[in-house]
Amino acid sequence: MRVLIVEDSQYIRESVALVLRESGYAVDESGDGEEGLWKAQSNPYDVIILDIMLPGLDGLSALRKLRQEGNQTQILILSARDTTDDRIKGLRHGADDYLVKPFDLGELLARVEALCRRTYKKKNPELRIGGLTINLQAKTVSCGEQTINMTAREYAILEFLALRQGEVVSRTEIEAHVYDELVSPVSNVIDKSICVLRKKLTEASDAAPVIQTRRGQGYIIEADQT
Amino acid sequence: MKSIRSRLLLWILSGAAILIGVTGCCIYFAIRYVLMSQIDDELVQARKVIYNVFENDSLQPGAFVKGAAQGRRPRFRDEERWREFDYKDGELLYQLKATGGEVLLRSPSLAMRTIEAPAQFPDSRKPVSLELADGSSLRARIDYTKSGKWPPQFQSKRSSEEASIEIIVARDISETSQTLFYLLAGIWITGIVATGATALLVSIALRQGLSPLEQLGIEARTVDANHLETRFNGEAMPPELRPICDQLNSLMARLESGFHREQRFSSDLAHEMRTPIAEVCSLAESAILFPEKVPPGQFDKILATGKRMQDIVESLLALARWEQGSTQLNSETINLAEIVNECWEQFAATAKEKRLSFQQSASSESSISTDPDLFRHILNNLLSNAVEYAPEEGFVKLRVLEDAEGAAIGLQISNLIEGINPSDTDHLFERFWRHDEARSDGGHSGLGLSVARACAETLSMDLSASVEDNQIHFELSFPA
Repeated sequence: MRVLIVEDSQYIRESVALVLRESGYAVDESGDGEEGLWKAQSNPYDVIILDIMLPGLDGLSALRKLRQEGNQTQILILSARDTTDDRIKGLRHGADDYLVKPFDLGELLARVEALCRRTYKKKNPELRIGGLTINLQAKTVSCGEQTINMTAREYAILEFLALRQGEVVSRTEIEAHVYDELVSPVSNVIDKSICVLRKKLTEASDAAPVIQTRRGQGYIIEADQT
Repeated sequence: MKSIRSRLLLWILSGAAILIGVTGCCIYFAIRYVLMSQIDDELVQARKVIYNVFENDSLQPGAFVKGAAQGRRPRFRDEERWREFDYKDGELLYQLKATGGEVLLRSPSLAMRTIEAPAQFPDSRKPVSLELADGSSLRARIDYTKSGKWPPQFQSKRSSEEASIEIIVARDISETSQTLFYLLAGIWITGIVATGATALLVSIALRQGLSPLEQLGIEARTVDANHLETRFNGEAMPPELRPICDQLNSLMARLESGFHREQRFSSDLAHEMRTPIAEVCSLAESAILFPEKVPPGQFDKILATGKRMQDIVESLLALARWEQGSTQLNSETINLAEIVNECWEQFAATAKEKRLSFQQSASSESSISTDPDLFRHILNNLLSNAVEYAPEEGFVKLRVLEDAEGAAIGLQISNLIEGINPSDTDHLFERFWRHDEARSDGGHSGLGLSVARACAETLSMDLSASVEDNQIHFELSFPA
């Protein structure tokens, strides 16, 4: 999952980014309204965390522009403005959620997770594919009682494919959702990760591999594998 | 404390009751005096008749007595008046009594009743009030005379030559007493009715008269912290209440303004503190969650944010202190060039980073007498503001303003600034107002200029701002 934080307070931005990265998210940061808007327009984020009082362009204007352009990304406003009117205004401008500063990082994380699930229309934080159980909250994959060890990147790829179960997902899309702007993956890094993933999943389960390759198109987890 | 209405009612009713009482008493005693005077005059006339008849009249007393004894009445000059003694139910009475207590003669109107004279009475010439055994009230005059002067029939067989005769002439005043009683009762009833009617009328009048005050009270009761925009309609009030309405409206306007200012200030303060608190919390929380991933310098960031909050709190406390006017000033002569250079040193490094030029015209002779600490505070805030908002490669100018004789009368600090409107100068000195709305930049708290103006006012200086050609000028005028 890829998240953009647009927040002018460097300390808040860094802390939130740290927690999100450690929780398996690919995180991009911006301290400026205009730059944040440009990043949101340029990359496919799953969630955008947006402050209101921003230099350059205020958060509400950025939000309005994104919605006018048809951007459907889940947007969470993170602001020190705490009145009911402020919240109503934020939500009516097109925000999906509103959190007032000071906030609890755990709550912010839970809200980001909920928004991610909403993006892929999943209400249950546990996805079941074949004999596999993917816990979106704990970021774990298990087969029966056995937990499958995998890197954060491998988990992120599996989670993204699982959330888009039944759809062919291209390498570019995977890269865009799994890597942040600071990482420039080499051309076959996704293929290698998928290969390792398949191996780990096959070792844990005797069933047929859940991730299928569509030559020239990308990867898919078939919809009927429940 | 009693209400105005009840106090007024009490006073007016007490006054009315006293007036009615006094008037009633005056009427009663005047009538009583008149009636009694008439009776007393009658008694005087009746006494004369008695004496004329028995002592001085040409009528032979013997014949009269004889005639009286035989039931005949001889005619004599006071006969008309004398007849009044004869009526059985007549009001005029007399009684002649010997010293020994023997009744010698009594008028037919007295029937068989006996008048008992009081044992002591002060003056025989003054009438006294007596009461008969049957309860009849009398007004009487009592005289004593030597029986020797009187015919032998009046001589008591038991008394000596020198014995005297008690002569009582009286008038039955039962009817007059009853009349006076009715008069008194009438006065009482009239007084009570008049007092009641006065109470009713006064109560109605007070209710009507005090209704605007009551209305004012009802309107005042609706005023609370959520309705400070309420104003009293003085035009609808009587002239006596208009000054009160005007004063109340003026007070309400001041209250509203002060309340809104405090509300805005509290809201701004809460908002201003939210971001640094959020910073500290998120820095600490992320360090607790992922201690091994915490980048170096995390504690420095927490400390820096804490200091920023401390600056805000200290600035606010200083503002409150200066605005209260409780600061002790230590005035001394300070050299302007020295203090300007001293203050600039703090910002020289930042100015160098931004490649700002600094020009100042303070000569070594320019000096003023003021509190150096507060003056330094003003300069620091103005220079800090100039360095913060001047664009890169811009300038900061400090000019000493002088009068015709070359004495320093003020300072002007100017710098280039982008995106500010002349109308913004109205808000520059408001607490937490900043040129850039994005507030959580970790730099200025938005209190510097408020602090500078409060300091200037404490030093009786005037601090103003103007914008012209992308330049902002802060002018600090020294007291004359």
